[in-house]
Amino acid sequence: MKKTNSIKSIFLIFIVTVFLPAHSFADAFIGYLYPSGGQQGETIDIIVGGMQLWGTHTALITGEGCTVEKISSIPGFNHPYYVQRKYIIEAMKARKEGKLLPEKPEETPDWRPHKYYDRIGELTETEFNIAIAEFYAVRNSLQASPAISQKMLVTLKIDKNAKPGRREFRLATKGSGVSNPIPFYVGSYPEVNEGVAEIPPEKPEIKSFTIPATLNGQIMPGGEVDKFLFQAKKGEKITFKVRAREFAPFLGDGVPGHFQAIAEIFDSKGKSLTFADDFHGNIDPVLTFTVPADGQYAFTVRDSIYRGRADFVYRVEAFYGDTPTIPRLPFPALPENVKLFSKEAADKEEILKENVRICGTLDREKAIHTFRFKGEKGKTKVLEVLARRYGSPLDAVLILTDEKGNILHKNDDPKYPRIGIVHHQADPYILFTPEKDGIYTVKLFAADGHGGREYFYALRIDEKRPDFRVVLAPSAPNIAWSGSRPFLFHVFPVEGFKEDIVLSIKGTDKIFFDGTNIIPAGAEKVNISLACNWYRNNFPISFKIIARSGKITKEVIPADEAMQAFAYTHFIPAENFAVAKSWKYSGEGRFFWRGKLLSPGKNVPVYPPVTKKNKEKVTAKAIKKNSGKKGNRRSAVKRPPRPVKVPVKWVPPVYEKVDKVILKAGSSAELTLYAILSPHDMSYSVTMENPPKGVSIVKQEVIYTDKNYSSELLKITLKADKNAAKGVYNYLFKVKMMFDASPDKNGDIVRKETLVPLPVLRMEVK
Amino acid sequence: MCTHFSGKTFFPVVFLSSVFLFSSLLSAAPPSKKGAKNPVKSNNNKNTVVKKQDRKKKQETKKKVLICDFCKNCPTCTRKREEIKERQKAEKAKLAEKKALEAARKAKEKAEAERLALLPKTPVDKILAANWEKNSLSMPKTASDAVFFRRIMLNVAGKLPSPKEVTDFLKDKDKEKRQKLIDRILDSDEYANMMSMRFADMLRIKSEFPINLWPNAVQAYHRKIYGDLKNDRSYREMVMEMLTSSGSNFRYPYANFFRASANRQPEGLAKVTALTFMGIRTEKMKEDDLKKFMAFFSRIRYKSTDEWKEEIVYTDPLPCTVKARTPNGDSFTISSPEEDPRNVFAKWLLQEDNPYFARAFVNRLWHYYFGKGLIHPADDMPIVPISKFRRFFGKEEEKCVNTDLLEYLAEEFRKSNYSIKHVSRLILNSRAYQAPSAPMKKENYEKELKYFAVYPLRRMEAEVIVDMLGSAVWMRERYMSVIPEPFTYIPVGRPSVLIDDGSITSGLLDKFGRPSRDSGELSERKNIATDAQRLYLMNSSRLYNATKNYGTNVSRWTRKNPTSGINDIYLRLLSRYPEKKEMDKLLKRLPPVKNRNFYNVYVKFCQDLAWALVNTKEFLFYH
Repeated sequence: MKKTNSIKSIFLIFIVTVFLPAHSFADAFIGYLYPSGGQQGETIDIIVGGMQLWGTHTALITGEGCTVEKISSIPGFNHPYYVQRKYIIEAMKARKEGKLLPEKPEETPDWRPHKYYDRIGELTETEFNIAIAEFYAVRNSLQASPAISQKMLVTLKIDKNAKPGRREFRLATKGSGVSNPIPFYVGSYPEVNEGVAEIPPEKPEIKSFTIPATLNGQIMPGGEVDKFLFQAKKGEKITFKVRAREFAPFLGDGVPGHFQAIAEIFDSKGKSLTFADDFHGNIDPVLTFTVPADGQYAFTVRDSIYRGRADFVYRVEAFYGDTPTIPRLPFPALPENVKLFSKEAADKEEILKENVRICGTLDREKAIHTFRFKGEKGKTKVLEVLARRYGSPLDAVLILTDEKGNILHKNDDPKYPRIGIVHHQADPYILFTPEKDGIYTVKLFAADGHGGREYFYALRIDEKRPDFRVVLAPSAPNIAWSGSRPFLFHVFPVEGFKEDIVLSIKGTDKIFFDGTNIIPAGAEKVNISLACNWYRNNFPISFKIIARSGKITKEVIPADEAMQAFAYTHFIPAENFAVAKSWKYSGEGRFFWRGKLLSPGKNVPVYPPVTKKNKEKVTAKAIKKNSGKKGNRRSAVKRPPRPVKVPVKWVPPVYEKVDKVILKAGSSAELTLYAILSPHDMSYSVTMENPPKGVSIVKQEVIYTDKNYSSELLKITLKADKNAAKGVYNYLFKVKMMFDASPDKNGDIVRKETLVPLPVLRMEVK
Repeated sequence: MCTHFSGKTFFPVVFLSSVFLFSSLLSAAPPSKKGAKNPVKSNNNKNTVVKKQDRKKKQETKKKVLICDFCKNCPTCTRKREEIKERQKAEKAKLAEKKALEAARKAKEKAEAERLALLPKTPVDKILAANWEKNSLSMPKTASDAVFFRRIMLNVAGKLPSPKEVTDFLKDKDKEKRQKLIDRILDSDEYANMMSMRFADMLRIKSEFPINLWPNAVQAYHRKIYGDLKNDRSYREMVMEMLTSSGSNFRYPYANFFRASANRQPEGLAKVTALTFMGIRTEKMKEDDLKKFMAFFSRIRYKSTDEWKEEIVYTDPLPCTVKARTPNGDSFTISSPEEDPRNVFAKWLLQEDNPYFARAFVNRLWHYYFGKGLIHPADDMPIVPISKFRRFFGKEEEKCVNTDLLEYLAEEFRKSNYSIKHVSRLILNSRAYQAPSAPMKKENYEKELKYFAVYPLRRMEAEVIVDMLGSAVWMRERYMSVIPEPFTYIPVGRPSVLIDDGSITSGLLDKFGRPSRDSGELSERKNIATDAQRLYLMNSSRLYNATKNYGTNVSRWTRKNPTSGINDIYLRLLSRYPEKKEMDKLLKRLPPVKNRNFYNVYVKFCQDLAWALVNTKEFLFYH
């Protein structure tokens, strides 16, 4: 064990010293897919743009029917110089015209080897088109976005029976874990991609399509307007449903923070006939067009203000038919003691006495719906509108008045957590405790006065129903091999919820909570450490996290945090968690809380399983063990047994799990930290950042060092003052680790410092 | 002479000679007058006399012919010749008289036609004519076809006509071609482009400081205006929607009206509303009047969302009693939110007998087509109540140069359901718009200018000039904006008049006075020629190279026919053929076509000619 450990240590030292200067906590990230969907039964090449995608070995697509056939990286495209450039142009032209490629000239000193440029004749069609596009692309360094600069090419086969609809697409890498998800669509219509790059001065071909079809494209920089041609007959009604913002709901470095697509139709003379830039408050437009005369028409897509970038990807479904209705999400299940009313029924009731949910529609401009209900002194009532979050364009306002008409509360846009791609939290919410018994009136109307059949709502007049939501971002909480990482869980309590929430993992036994798995009552953002028993493979793991508190059991929402226009941050929910092995940052996997020893470690012989190859040896061992006993001739072999070396396995000691520390005000508590000392010149100390008031570390003492100086135990004494803030906290201790890094340019050894998080502990200060 | 005669030949010769001599003598003898005067009296018969007369006549005729043919000095011939001459003279004189009569008749017809042409046909012309007569001005003639065509294409459509369009128009013999052209232009996309630009100036469509509409709202707002102008939506409906719209700046474009103001307090909103739709300045209102007026806008609220720069305009839902008063003294007590004060104001403004709305807009429209309004400045009209309005304008005309016309146009505007195209049609078909820019009498120029008896000369808008340079000599601007991220790049070839955002500009547009759209006042646009502009046009290497390339191309196409090259350059740049003296002067500068050095000289000639014409007032000015 010691020899193995020393080899391991040397290897780790090597990794740390070589890779330390370049280490980063960045996980794999993908910004776009192009095309962002495919037809059933087709095999498509998808360009994936992102960062940290080195070592991508597979793609994960939710649902069934999609198989990854090949993944390769697309190299960066440099600027070739004269001789090389000339050769590339000639070779591309020759290939395009179907002629023999010119002979490759002798390489000059400034010749830059390139995976694509050096193999123009051998590239696939997709690779060749990429090479042309990149070769002739006008580059603007001011507009380059590193987040989407790295590209991978994924060949995906879609089964003909694959269910059409939305999927989520991720990439899994060897060292940067799993990426965030991007929507991917399986469609049933034939797919038409925008015209590919041509060798200038030729321009990309304008593609034609026959309805129904799905169109795919990218709006590139320079004010690009993508055009597709189609034939139509007089009187036909054709709908074009554009998906653009859906693929990148929020752009952190985009202003506006999303791709605002405009769909427009022109006649054969270039005259604009109709256009659309939104759909009932949704940013992605839907355009319905009644054909005025037989002929050819052009359908165009562009950004509203003529921006363009590689992640401005769109997908358009063109089909015969009328404008689709606005998709409505189902309301939450009705609690037991809540009655469901229609608006008309509620009007008939005159005064609502019970807990109710009233479903109605503000069906005309400036409509006001008024309801009266009975309020009891001290009994809190909740007035909540469910509309915008469920697909209604309604921007509701609630005004609560008493019997005399005095306004008690008014609410318009409450502060909801930014979960999802809804960009306007327009559903009002009032929590109201009557000071006396009486009849109260609530008015519901649209802030902007708009109304119509699609302005549906549900008004909840109910008691408080404490509830919560827990969100974990990222949805790919990648963890290092044998590592443990803290992740920030966001808790959104509702209507007075204030209980502990217990988390558990479902769907895998490889991921577990390191440290505490309890979210303290009242916490809004809390660290919880996840660890992983990685095997040596890289295959990603999907799992769920369940949150339980009393009778409420919910799934933790996997989400990815996205920034919008350098300003706002949003959580974009994903379908599931997906994790793969990530690279270890320095210090990770070196420090563990150590509880009481429950069972010591020991060497135990491990009998190998009997196979054809080793049958003789194993049986020989068995004979050897049982020799001398009568009646045990069944397994006797004819040849004399040869001595067999029985391998020995080390069963590590079992310690009590440390997941909490209890401190009484005015007293102290102790924690033990196990530290693996490597490199040997490493020094460390435990720190507390923003500790609870009155709590501090008073002493850190090494209580044990092993004879090889490869590990030691550190006793940490915590103390809570008499006036320490009482409460329960999930506290993240950190270790400040100092180590020698590679020498600087003067040859001096650089002493580097890093903060290593420890598994999160639940700290109770009483 | 034969010396040997025989008796046999002697007597015949003598006989023949005598006969010959006798006949000669007979022919030389003048006709006997006696014989002519004294006809042979013969009892025999008249026939004999007649026959003799006929015979004589024939002889005379023969003689005449014979004489004329054979004898030039014969007095008879001379006399005859004189007679002939006199006859011919007489005939000529007759012919000349006939021609003169014909010419006089034609001149009379032409004069009559001109007189008839000068007669006002349309009500607008009649009103104008009355006004001119009142001010001792005669009816102006109409400008030539070339001048009119160029003027209307640039002023109304913002587009330089191509040489083919010019020649087609000039060749067209249709008497109603001007009316048809006006109709065609008003139905075109170019008209909508140009009018959208004017509306964008008026409504302060600008993404950045101090208006802060933001790019996404700018494009939605401009797009909506363009569509409504193209479809000739009722201006009243447009304004009603602008004044009463609530909702997201991105999804409800007209909600941006109350966002497009540097000051979003009620005072600021009152100012922009009064300026835009009433043509009055709130700075000139009394303090108390202003306070009451701005109360109409005191319940407007704004709220943001989680979408970057999305803003929702709405009316405060909390109850409030608003007491407001319009500039002409109409008071209102409004219970908000049951009644939206904006709604109340809009209804008052857009009612049929409102003294401001229709007049302000038609005056503004007149300004667009003439460079100044009937009341000037067009957005600084007097704040007076309607009861005093007509009296006021009837007595003092320095404020309004033609009150009757203003009233008529306003009435037509109302009757046509506030159709901008209808009023535009009336104005563009008027004599005032089709008048030449040269005065009838130089000494009366100022007066003619004042009363629109001459078309006002003025420099074109910056966007029109830049687009002209783009289409004439292919010097196109590329617009981009670094406000959004990634940057905005307007597609090449998109006209400058269609740039929706006042924050997207170029050095060239700024140099030629493009407005900043901060206040929405008409005076923000500087359509005056400055030294910086002149220096640019003369010295810009970019422009020089563009004209050089253009000239080179022309010379290449027309190397064998320099006249056609000169025609092409004139048609393209000035939308007319060169006059004869211009052509003569230009051709004099060129060597003969067959000259070896001709082409080199011709290339330079075309380049220089193009450059020179671009630097003329005729190119840069509405005329």
